[in-house]
Amino acid sequence: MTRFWPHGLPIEVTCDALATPVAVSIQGRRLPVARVVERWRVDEGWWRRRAWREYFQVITAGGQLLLLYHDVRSGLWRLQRLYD
Amino acid sequence: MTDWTTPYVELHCHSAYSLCDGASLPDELVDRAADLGMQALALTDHDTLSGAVPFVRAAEARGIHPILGTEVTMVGGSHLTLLVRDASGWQNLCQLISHGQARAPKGEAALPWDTLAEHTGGLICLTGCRRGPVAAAIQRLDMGRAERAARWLRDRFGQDHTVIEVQHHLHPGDGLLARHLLDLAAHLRLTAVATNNVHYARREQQPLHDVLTAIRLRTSLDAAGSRLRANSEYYLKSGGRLRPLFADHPELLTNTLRVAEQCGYRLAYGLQDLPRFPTPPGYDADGYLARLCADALRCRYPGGSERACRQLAYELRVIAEAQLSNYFLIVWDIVREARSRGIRCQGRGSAAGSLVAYLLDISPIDPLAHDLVFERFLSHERPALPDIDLDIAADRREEVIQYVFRTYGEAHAAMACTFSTFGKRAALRDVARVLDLTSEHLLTPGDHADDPTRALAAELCRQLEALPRHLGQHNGGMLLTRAPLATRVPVEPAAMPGRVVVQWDKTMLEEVGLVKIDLLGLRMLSALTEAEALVRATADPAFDLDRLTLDDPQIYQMIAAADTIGVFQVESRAQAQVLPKLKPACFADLMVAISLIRPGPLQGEMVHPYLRRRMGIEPVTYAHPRLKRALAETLGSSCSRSRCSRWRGTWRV
Repeated sequence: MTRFWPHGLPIEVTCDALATPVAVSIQGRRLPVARVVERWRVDEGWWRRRAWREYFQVITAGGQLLLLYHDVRSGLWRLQRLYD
Repeated sequence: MTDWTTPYVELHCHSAYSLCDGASLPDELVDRAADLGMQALALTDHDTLSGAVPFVRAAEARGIHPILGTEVTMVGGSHLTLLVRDASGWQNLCQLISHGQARAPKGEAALPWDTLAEHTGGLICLTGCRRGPVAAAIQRLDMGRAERAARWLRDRFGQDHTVIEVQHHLHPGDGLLARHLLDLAAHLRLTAVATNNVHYARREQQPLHDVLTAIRLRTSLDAAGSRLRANSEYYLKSGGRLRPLFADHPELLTNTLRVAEQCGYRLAYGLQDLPRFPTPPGYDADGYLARLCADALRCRYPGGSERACRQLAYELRVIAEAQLSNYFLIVWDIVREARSRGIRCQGRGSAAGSLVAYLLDISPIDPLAHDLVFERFLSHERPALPDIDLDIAADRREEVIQYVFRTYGEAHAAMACTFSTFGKRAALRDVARVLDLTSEHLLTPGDHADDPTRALAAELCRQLEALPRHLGQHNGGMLLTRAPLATRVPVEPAAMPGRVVVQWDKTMLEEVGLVKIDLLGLRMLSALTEAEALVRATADPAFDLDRLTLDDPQIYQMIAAADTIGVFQVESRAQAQVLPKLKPACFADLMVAISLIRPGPLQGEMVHPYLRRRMGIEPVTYAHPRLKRALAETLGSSCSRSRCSRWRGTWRV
């Protein structure tokens, strides 16, 4: 079952030197990232509230597929979707 | 960040001449490319070459190689990026643009695939953006169709001139699309390059581009939604910026240099591009022009005039050496045709200094009687193109234009275009509309610093103002070419049915050295025709305006009293102040009066010294005795350009 957080679930993310996630901590559980499947950038809505986000679709070492994003302006990371 | 270590040339770049889709003028893009260390840059606006001339000028100034190209829109809506390799490629691209534009409503294009197939020589075809036939098929997961599209292009443009175009703008799916494109390139042994489909020079210009998009779509930013690009990656990037996106395939970047090397074409025109005027048997253009002038000379100077003969021989020699006899004959023919239809028409400006123009009836002024200077019009020293502007009775100008189209053929004549820019008012209105604000809100005076929306809108208006908005037909600038026009310059249909316009405006045409003929509408000439008819109907049936002499004292009394409302050239308030002091008593005085109220003498503060001398308040002196001959008429002041030409002539003696 896919779980989806419309406003994102706060998470902690560790990145490498190229700002690519290497590990994700969800509610205290640390999940190493095995592979980044895809990344994309959204930068829009500058005329009202600018949404500037770096999205990463990653596979964890445990084989879970996650969609997370980095809100560049606030510096916070969010989990958007967890695919089962 | 400048990166010198990853060589890259941008081959897909839109300027503001992709109307309402590009946010930067060509020179901004060139400046940025040069700052990033690019050796070359391609300009590929949508279905137009309008930006070509300023682009080439800017690139040459910055020492980078300008590659000319276009992103063409095909029937069905897909896009291809075409780059010019050589002169035949330029001709083909011009024709493709004309074909594409001719088959779609204004502002759109639709090029048939079989027309493209007929004009592939000298061009390089990049397979296009996400809307290219290859990438679009891959996105629909139709790999067979993608391969067929690529093969189709390869079979027409050739193995070496068909290039798979790979873009990555950090959108979902871009990575996968790139991998499929690379597989296809390998399979068909085609070169692949990275391009960034640039729509603005710097990332910060994304808002301006979004505003332009919303204006084009006639909607607000909020309502435009997903039709705006999802991020700000469409700026001019260095190789270093692009490298991480194509980390496994650095050759995509270096290959852009290989492609750029193939595009050596330089935009250039010769003078002798005009249609050949049909001279009678036994005459070439030089000979026929000489013959016409010699005949006219006998009529105009019945007793013969050694001075006129000398001047004529001199002018004919200069004109022949400049290879302009044919040009004179074309203008003569237009004037002759207009007159035969009773349309008032005459040359304006520096052509009045030419005896040849007078003898051909192009100019009504005898330059010898009025001591006018031929060198202002044409000289060995000034290689600039001469400009013969014809003023034509405004209400019948279209007839003359039609005549030129008929004489030289629709395929050989077109009007210059003009670009209207947004300007302050339209910019304000459009920005307010796309932001869902009222323009009153934006116009309210006050400090913008405390209102971020207003500050933002004001900044966007400022950026928008100078950008071209519409392409229209110029009021009279006409281009004639010997070869079919569509093979020489890019053209598109005008709003007027059956009329085509060149995608370049007057300044651009001049800059590339294409001779144009200006057929300007002058309402005063229509008024004169009407006045003449009125006089004939009410006072004197035999009245002939052209037989009036220029020495009627009553006329000069009226002018000296500044009774000049509605009189062409001497009706302004500035003239009304000068005339009573100057008290013109002859035609030459009128010439002085008109040349005084011009930017040069006004800024040079020559008006008052001249008037004081004229009224006898100040003695007439000359800066040097040798200048006396040149400046006697203007009482020692250098208040017109023809005086300056004389001045220089005197000095050389």
